[in-house]
Amino acid sequence: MPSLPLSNLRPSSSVAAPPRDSSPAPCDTARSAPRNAAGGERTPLRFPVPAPQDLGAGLLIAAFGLAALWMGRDWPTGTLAYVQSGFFPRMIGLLMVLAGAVVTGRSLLTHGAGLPAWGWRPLLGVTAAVLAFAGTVEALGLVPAVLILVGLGNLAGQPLRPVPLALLGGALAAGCVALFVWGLGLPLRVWPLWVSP
Amino acid sequence: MDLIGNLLLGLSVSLSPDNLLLCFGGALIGTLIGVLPGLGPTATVAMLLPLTFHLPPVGALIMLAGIFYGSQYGGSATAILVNLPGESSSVVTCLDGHAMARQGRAGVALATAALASLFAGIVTTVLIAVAGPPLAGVALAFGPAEYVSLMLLGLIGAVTLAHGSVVKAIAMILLGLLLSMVGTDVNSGDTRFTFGLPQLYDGIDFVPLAMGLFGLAEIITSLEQTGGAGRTTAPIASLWPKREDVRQAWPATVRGTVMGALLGILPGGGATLGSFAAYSLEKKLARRPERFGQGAIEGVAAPEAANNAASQACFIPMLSLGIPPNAIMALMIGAMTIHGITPGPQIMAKQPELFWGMIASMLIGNVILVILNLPMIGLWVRLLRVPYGYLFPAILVFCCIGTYTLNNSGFNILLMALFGVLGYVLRKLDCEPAPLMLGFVLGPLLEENLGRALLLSGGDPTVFATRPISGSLLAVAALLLLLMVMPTVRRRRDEAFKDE
Repeated sequence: MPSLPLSNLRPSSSVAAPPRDSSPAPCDTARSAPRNAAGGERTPLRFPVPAPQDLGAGLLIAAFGLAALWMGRDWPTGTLAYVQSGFFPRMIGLLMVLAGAVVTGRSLLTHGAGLPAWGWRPLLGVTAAVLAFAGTVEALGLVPAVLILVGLGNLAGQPLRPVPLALLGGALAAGCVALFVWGLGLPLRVWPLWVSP
Repeated sequence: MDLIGNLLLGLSVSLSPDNLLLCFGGALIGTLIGVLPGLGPTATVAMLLPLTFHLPPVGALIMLAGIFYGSQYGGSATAILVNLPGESSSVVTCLDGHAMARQGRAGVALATAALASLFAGIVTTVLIAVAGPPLAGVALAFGPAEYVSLMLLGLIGAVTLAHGSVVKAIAMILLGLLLSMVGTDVNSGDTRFTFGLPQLYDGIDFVPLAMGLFGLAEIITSLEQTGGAGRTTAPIASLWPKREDVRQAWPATVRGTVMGALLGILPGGGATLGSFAAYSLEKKLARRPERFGQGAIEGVAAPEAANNAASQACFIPMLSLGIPPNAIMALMIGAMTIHGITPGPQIMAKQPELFWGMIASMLIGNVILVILNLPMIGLWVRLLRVPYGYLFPAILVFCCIGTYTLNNSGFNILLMALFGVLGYVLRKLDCEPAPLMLGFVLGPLLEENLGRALLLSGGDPTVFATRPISGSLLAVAALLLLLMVMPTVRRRRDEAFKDE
């Protein structure tokens, strides 16, 4: 991506900002300005291979394949005429290792895109918010869970000021209770046990 | 006559007040979510699935179809107004659509997109009604070997959906197949890949997977790109195309429709290929091709028509063969399974009111979409100015509750979070999640039919190549694979030469 700092460091090979990538330039222009606002990002790491992004992808794919093979190592494969539960996992696992090897090998031979910067803040913020919701919706009920989700989720982007944040949380909690509990009649706990059993 | 009788049956189903309301609601909510930057049709359908859980099956499918084309239109609006395509199929619309918007002709571009989509939608719906039943007849003659080959063809075709490396796309399909194996094997009762967790014995639910891969990952990516700020949108001067505009856009719409419908039927062809092909065709045919990219109205009408035609033509293999040609159709199949409907050739004979009701509702939905959108363009523009910081918590809450209410277990939310992270990592590594979804949906079918075909042939793997239908399907798949690999090879070689 031309707007990443990477391109300044490596003028020759960075032309290969993925040529096949059809997601167009506008995303980049939109991305560059508030990039720092989102915070938490670092300059992309540089590896001494021609295509670090493909290297990562290849290793990940191969790892999935190897994990599948290892987990299914004792499963019965049966014969071709009567395949058993271990056959398909082994076949797919082998193919994945193969695909991973091809991608990895290619990343060492041909030039490709570098590893992009990671948006740690939105990644962790959104994941934490969702996990918190999962942990609280049964024990505490819908309203506290929504409030916690909104509070944590707020850290994922540019934080809102307290008053708009409180209004947003309140409106969402009320809207969810109205829509899902009253409207659709879903069996969801609304308040914690000690408030309304 | 049969066709008209069937369509009348369908209309009687879809024009019932309940279903009409669902169709309207689906189109409205679909547009509403689809308009948000970064949320394409796949993400929108995935996130709104839970809304339809508590509806009767026909109503649920009608609403989902409404959500689907609503979100598609919403995506086009975002592409035109803020130059941000929600999904690869509206990338082309950005080129001339946003150029028109910058000239103050955003209203005209949006109206053209809506009208071209309407035309394409109506034509393709009739095509589905005509082509569906004969195809289903063919499919009834299919044995397990043919199904395996057809699914392979579909999966290979799906590789075209993913922009980028063919090998990576195939790896994503394999990962989807792997995920589909989690749980109890239906034949032997053995549990596979469950990590000893009883919650996984029934397999991974399709909703947390789809919501995590598409919904959460999209939210994270959007936040990373915008930091939660709002976007500036182009002002809108007038809405209605001038006579001159209509004269230019009309033939382009017709050509786009034909192109889109043809490419849409092919497995994996889908909307992206259709819109790109239609755009380049218009550029070739144009007397002054240099106008393209500068706000040529044909450059909006043709890809939009193709986009819509292709995405509706995708319903043909989905409804008649039970094979999803792309990720959205995979979502639709997932939704049907949740309602206890097995998609496939038998659906037309056993549940005609469902099949024809859904098709007729597409006709109505396309009309509703235009009626709905022309007056509401101003509203969408205003919605786009709402900062993302206010919108995404609402979307997150919605995803969480939707996943939770699947079977009232927090475990599904955990899975969704996990797949959200996976989806984000895959995006960063330039691996598309759409083929993964397809592999996941087709996995159980593929494994079952593969085993059965081998059992029937007494363990002879050549059966796939020697049976005529199966063999020709495989040949087409091999040809597709070859065609897709070749340009990549060439381009890679070119790059290598350039570097030296």
